[in-house]
Amino acid sequence: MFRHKKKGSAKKRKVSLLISVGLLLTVVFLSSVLLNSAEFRYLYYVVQTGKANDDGKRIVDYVRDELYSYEALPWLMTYWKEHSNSMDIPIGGLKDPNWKKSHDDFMDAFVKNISIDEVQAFSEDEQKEFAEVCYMRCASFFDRVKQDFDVNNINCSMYNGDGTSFAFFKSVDESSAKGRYSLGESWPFDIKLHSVASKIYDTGEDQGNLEFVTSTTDDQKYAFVYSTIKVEGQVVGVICETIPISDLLEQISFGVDVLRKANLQFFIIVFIILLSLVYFMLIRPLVQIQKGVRGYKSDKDSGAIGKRLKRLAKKQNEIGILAEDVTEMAVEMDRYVEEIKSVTAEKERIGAELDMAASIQSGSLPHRFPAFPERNEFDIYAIMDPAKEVGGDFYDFFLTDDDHLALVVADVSGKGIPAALFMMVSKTVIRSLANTQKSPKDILYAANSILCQNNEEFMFVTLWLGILEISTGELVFADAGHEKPALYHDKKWQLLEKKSMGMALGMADPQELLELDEKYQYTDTIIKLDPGDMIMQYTDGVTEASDSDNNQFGEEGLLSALSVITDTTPEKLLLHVQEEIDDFVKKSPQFDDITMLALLYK
Amino acid sequence: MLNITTSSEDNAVIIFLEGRLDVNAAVEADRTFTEVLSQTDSVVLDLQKLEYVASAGLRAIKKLRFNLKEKGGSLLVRNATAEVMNIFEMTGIAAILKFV
Repeated sequence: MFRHKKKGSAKKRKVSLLISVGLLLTVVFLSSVLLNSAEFRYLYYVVQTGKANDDGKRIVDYVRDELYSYEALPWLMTYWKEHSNSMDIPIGGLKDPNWKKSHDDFMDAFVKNISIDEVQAFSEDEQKEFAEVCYMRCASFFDRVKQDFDVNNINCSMYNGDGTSFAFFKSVDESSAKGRYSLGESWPFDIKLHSVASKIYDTGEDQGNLEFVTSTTDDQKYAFVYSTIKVEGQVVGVICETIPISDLLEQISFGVDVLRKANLQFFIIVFIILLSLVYFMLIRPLVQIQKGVRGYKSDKDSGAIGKRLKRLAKKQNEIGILAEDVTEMAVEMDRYVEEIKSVTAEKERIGAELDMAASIQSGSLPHRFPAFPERNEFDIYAIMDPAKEVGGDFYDFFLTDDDHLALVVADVSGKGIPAALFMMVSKTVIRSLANTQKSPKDILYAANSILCQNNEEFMFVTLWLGILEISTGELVFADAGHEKPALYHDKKWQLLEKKSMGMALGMADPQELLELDEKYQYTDTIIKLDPGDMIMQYTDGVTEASDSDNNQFGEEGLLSALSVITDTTPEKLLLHVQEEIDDFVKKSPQFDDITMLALLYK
Repeated sequence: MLNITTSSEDNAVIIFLEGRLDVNAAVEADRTFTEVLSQTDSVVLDLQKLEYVASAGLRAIKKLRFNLKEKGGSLLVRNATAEVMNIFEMTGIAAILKFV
C-alpha cells in the first residue's frame, strides 16, 4: 500500500520539479525570443527598405530637379549624347586643375538661364563650350551628392538597347577603380534583370518601388531607386541610386540585436518571477503536505497531520483543498484501521473458536490407537479428515457389552459448524440407543424418530451401523442411505450389495417412513467374519474425491487401492488408501470430508 | 458452478438447475427456493442438466419440499439424470419426492 521512499530520493524529486518547470520556461522563452527576432527582422526589413526607398527617391528626385533647372537641358542631353567623343572634358573631376579653371572662368550664374533658342544662336565653339561647362557643373553636382548623401552610386544614364548603358553622369564609390565614369562610357546592363528599369523604359513613367538586383560584377545584392528625365514625354535619361543590401542588413541586424537583448532581459525577469511563484505557491506547500503525509506514515497520528496542515488547509485554492483532503483521508484511515482492527479481532475470535470446535469434535471421536489394547480378537483403525475446520463426517466404535462392538460411519448433510452440531447429536443418539438395543435396524428407526424431532434446519445424516459379536464373528449391520461397505473375505475385497436403500436419518418422519416402499426401510444384514477377514466402511468423500478434471476416485478406485494390500493391519490399510486418494486428486482442493474405518477380525 | 433459472408454466414455477449443486451452490439454491416459495405453491424442479448433487443440496430440496407441504402446495421433480437419481435413491430422498 505504501511505497517506502528514502528521504534523499524524495528531496531529489522535489528539486527536479523546479528544474522541469525551469526547463520548460527556458524552452518557451527561448523559442519566443527566436520567434520575436524573426518577426522583428521581417518588420524591420520592411520598414528599412521603405525608408531606403523614400530616402533614395528623395535623392534621385533632388538630382533630377537640379538637372531640370537648366533651361536648355533637352538641347544639352542631345548634345552630350551626340558629342560624347568630341567634348573636351578633363577626366580628373573637381580636383583636376583644368576642371576648376574652366568652371571658375565661366559665369555660371547665367548658365542655367540660357534658353535653347539662345544656345542655338551660339557659334559652334560657343555651343561646345556651353555644353562642356554645363556638363562639368552637373558632373560635379553628382560628385557632391554622392559625397554629401554618402551614397554608393548615383548616375544618370540611358539604356542603349544592346545590353549596355550610356553614361551621362555616374559617380561611384571611391573605393572602386574610378570615382566617376566619363561621358558616354558604357557598361553592361542586362535589362531583363532590372524589372523596374525596364518598366520605366517601356512606359515612360516613374516607378515607386525599390528594385533588388544581384550585381554581375561583385555578386553583391543592391537596391535600385530610379527617377526619370523626360523631354516632351520621352525618357531621355534615367537617374539611379544604388544601395548595397549589406548596408540595409547591417542596420536590420543592429536593430534585431537590440531587441533580442531587451527580450532576453525581460524574459530573465519573468523567468525568475515565475519560478519563485512556482516555488512558493506550489512546491513549498507540496513539500509541507508531503512532510505531513510522511509524518502520518510513521506515527499514524491524524491529529498531528491535521495540526501541521491547518494553515495550508485554510487557503482557498487547490493546495488548500489538497491539504484538507489529505487531513480528512488521514482521519478516515484512522477510522478504517480501527474498524479493520475490530473486524480482525472478531475474525480471530471466530477462528479460535473454530479451532476449539474442531479439536472438541476430533476429540469426541475415539482417536487413540490401538483403541482396545486388552482385546486381541480384533484390531480397529479409523481416519477422519475434514475438508473444513470442522466437518459433518464421523466414525465411532464402542463396546456395548463385553461381546459386542458397535461400528458407525456417518455423513451429515452440509459442512461446517451446522453439520458438526448435527453430527454431535447423531453420534450421541446412536451411542445411547446402541447401549440398549441390539438390532441395528431398530436403532436406526429409533434414531430417525429422534433426529426428525425439531429438525428446524432439515438436516439429515447417512449412516452405517454394524454390531459385531466378537465371540462368533457375526456382524449385523444396517444402513441409512450410506455407502456400501467393503469386505475382505477369502483373500479378496468386494463391496457388499445393499438389501435395501434405507432412508437417511432425519429425512422422513417415522410415520411417513413406515408408509414408504420396502426398499427405503432399514434392514439388518448378517454376515459371518472368519479370522483374517476385514470390513472397511467409508463416506462419499472417498469415492467422490476428484482430480482437476473432475474424475472421481470411485468405488473402482477404492477397490483397487484396497486390493493392493492384503493380510495387513487396518491402520496400514487405511493409510494406504489415503495415500492413493492423495495421489489421485493431486493438487485439487479437498471438497468433502474423508472418513474411513476398518476392522480386522482375528 | 450452478446455474439457476426459473420460468412460469400455468400456476407452477419451474426451477431449472444446471451444473453442480455442491455445498457452496446449495446456499444460492436455498435462497432461490425461498424466493420462489413466496410466489407459488406449486414448484417443479427440472434437473435435466444437473450433473451432481451434494448432501447440502439434498438438504435444500428437502427444505423446499417441507415448506411447500406446510403451505399445502406440491413439489414435482422431473428429468433427473441417472447419476442424480442414484444419489436420490441412495439417501432415500427419492422416496419422499414426487417424480414426473
